[in-house]
Parts: sequence; structure tokens; C-alpha cells
Amino acid sequence: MKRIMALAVIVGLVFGIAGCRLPPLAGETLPQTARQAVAAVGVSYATVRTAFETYADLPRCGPPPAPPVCSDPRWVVKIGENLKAARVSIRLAESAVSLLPEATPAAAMPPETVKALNAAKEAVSGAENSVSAAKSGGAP
Amino acid sequence: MNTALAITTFLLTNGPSLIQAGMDVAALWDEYAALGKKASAEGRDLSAEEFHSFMDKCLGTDESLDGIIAKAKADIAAGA
Repeated sequence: MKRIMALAVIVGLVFGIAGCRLPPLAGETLPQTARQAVAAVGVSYATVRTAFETYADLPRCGPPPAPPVCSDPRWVVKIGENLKAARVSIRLAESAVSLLPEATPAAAMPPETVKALNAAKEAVSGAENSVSAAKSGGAP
Repeated sequence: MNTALAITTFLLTNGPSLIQAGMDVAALWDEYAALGKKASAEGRDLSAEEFHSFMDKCLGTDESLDGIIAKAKADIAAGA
């Protein structure tokens, strides 16, 4: 329990620091172009990746007496693979959006571009969920 | 080791790098805003190259991820 709380503090700190200035979410006051929407996913990816790298840098968990704050290498592999998949999805969304005029509103994106963007968002969200699951101390 | 001591030790050791990492992420978004403002001031759209370069900074490299994954796999193989 102490280990879980300790890890929650650290991961919370990382997200807290990084989250202070996250990009505006869809629907907030700033108008979003298609490129801004993809850029926001890119910055979200960078946030998750920062949290992942901080987690991966922790001493490895092991048999007792394990360090109270540690990373499970199985989670590191899983999240790392998730992030690699997310990179691919984001690149696909970037390619799709790059074909549009720069000022194209996010709301006016063609369906296939929306699909690519949503896939990228889901991939980043999946990696973020994995980081959350890792910090909860469960098995990957 | 006492948990509070472990957290304190971790923060003393890694605090500056955590803060730097958070600032780096925040700086990314500021950079994107600045790129847009610059292009707008020049009466043009953000170029595909500028956009791609920005995304490169966000995404980092596959190689660094591969390195982290490989180290974790080696730790698993070693029984960590």
C-alpha cells in the first residue's frame, strides 16, 4: 500500500507539473484548426512519454525487500510498446492533416482525417491508461 | 527503507529533472503558439516543414523508446 501511495505521489507530481500548461482541449475557448488538434495530441503524447520515462527510470521492483518506489519491467515493456504504436498513429494523423490547408478548422476535417486523429487520440489515451495502471501496482 | 525517506530521496535526486521535464512539455505548446504567430505575422500559413519539425520534437525517437524497452526486457530476463 505504501508503495502504491509513493508511486501515486511521484506520477501525480509529473502529471501535475506537466499538466499545468497542457494544450487546450477540444471545445474550450480557443478555436482549433485541424493542425492544432494534431499538435495537441502530439503534446499529450510528450506528456505521457515524460511520465513513462520517469517511471522507467525508477529502480526495478523485485522480491522483498523491493524498493518502495519502483518500476515493473513488464509494465515498462508494455507502455513502451504502446507509445511506439501511438507514435505511428500520430504520424498517420499528421500526414492526413498535412494534406489540408493550414487553417482548416478541426470541425471541417474530412471523415478519414477525423478517423486518423481519433485513432491517434485513442492510442495516446491507451498509453496514458497503462501508465495509470502501472502506478496502481497491478500486474500488466 | 521508510517510505517517506524513499520519497524524499527520490525527489531530492530527481526533483530538478521532473520539473525540467514538465517545463519542457509546457514549452512545446508555447513553441507551437509562437510558430503560428510568426507565420501569421509574415502573412503566411504554418509550413508543412515547420509543422513536421514541431511534431518531431513532441514525438521524440523510436530509438530511445527501443533502448528503454530493451533494458526492461533484459531486466525481465535477469529475473527482476
